[in-house]
Amino acid sequence: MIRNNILNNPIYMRIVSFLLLLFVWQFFAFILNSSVLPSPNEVVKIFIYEIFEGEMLYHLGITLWRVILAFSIAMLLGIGLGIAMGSRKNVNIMLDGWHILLLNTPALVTIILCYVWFGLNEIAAITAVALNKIPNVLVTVREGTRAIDTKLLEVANVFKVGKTKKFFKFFLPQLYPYIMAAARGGIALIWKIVLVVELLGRSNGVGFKLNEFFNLFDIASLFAYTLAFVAVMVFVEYAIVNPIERRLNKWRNT
Amino acid sequence: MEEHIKTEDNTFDLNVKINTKIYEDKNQKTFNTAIKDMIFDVPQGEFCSLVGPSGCGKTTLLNMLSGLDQNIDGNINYRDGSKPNDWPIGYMFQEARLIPWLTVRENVDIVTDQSEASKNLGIELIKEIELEKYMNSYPSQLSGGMQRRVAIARAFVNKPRILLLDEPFISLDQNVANLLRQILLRSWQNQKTTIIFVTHDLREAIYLSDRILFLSKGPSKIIHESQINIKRPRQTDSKEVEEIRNKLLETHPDILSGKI
Repeated sequence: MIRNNILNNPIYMRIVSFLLLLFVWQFFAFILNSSVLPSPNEVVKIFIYEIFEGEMLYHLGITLWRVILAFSIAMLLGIGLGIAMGSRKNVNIMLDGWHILLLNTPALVTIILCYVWFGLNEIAAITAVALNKIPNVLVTVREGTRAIDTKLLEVANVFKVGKTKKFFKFFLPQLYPYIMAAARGGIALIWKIVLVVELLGRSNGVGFKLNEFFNLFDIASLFAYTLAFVAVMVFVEYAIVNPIERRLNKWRNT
Repeated sequence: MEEHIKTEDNTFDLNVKINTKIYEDKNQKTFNTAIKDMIFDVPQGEFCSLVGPSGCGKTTLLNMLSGLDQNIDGNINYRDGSKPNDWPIGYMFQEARLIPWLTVRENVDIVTDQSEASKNLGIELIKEIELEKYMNSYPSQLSGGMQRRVAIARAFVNKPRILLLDEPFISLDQNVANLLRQILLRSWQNQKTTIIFVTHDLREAIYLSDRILFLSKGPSKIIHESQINIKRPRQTDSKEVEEIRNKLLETHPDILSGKI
């Protein structure tokens, strides 16, 4: 009876799952007894040290800043281009080739080219990350633009609603589900690319630190940084993305 | 003074004269004549219905009247020479067509200039349609009939010089439709708006209108005109409506299919 309850409660199941992971980790760390696989205990120690006395918060902050900047630029340009290409055939024909080229260029190539052309600086780093994300945002938003319900736009036309209001109140809200989907995918992709960019050409940020730990074979610190970064991204998801989405969807499920 | 107002009221306010309107069917790449030689006038404050078979170019006509379609061979203007586009227009579609992510109040406000005065008129109209409790609800929380009521409030909120209604009570339960018709009449009498009401329900047209214009099948023009002189307020299922309907169908048995 009690066992059944535990198995059916999703929160318990999550806790059990987490404990199991800790156990397996601890088990192998114990058996191997090697610095290649530090125990959870060690990692937490370093984590706490890094937060209070180390440089972790600084590097986390730098990386987060790059993520936000690249994300904003990619979203703005992706949404703009997506709407333009979704609503105008000529624009679509004109830009579709470039878009496919960019979509299929490996992230690493974009990053290397940006560093080679613009130098090892912040602008190159942000540009490289944004360029990697724009095509994905564009595809989703273009899809949404093609699915726009013109009947609602007719309402705006017949009541002579001004252009700005028509765009923000009648047109753009129809794209919100697509924009949110693009944003979700965007955050997940962008922070991974930011790390690579930092590893290849920046002297701060989480990516830079990871490279340092790799060279020093400091796996415990590597784990601690990864843990912190995942925690930040989970926080962004639950504290920022989800509430925004709930707000935008308020009219849907009430 | 009394005299003066009377003559004013009897003057035709909106003048419609369309020589030909060609409609391009983009799927079949053919050109059809939707309207030919359609001429009629509407006095200020009249409730005028257009009745005709489906495919008689009603939507095309409404698009031209609302200013959405400016490609007109002919003339649509008010007595003072201004065009429908120069004035606020009210419109009701075949569906409520509210904006799903805006509340009832926002749906009414959004088509106005959002000044304090328009906002207050909006609230007044929402009270008039008896939805003040639902002011901050979203359309998905309202029944179909309530959504149409909001559409009525939206249609009147700009104090339109002309109100166009495209079969607004189609596909509704009769009781709901009757209630909405009464609400529409009440708002119309309050604001003294000129109304052009498209329908193919003759009973509805007789119950609501001062005058009915009958349209032919495309290319459409006015084939008959009948003044409805039942005193207001009218009863929805009154004998008079039935009598007028029977008489009309007796003298012109094919009038609803666009033949005289």
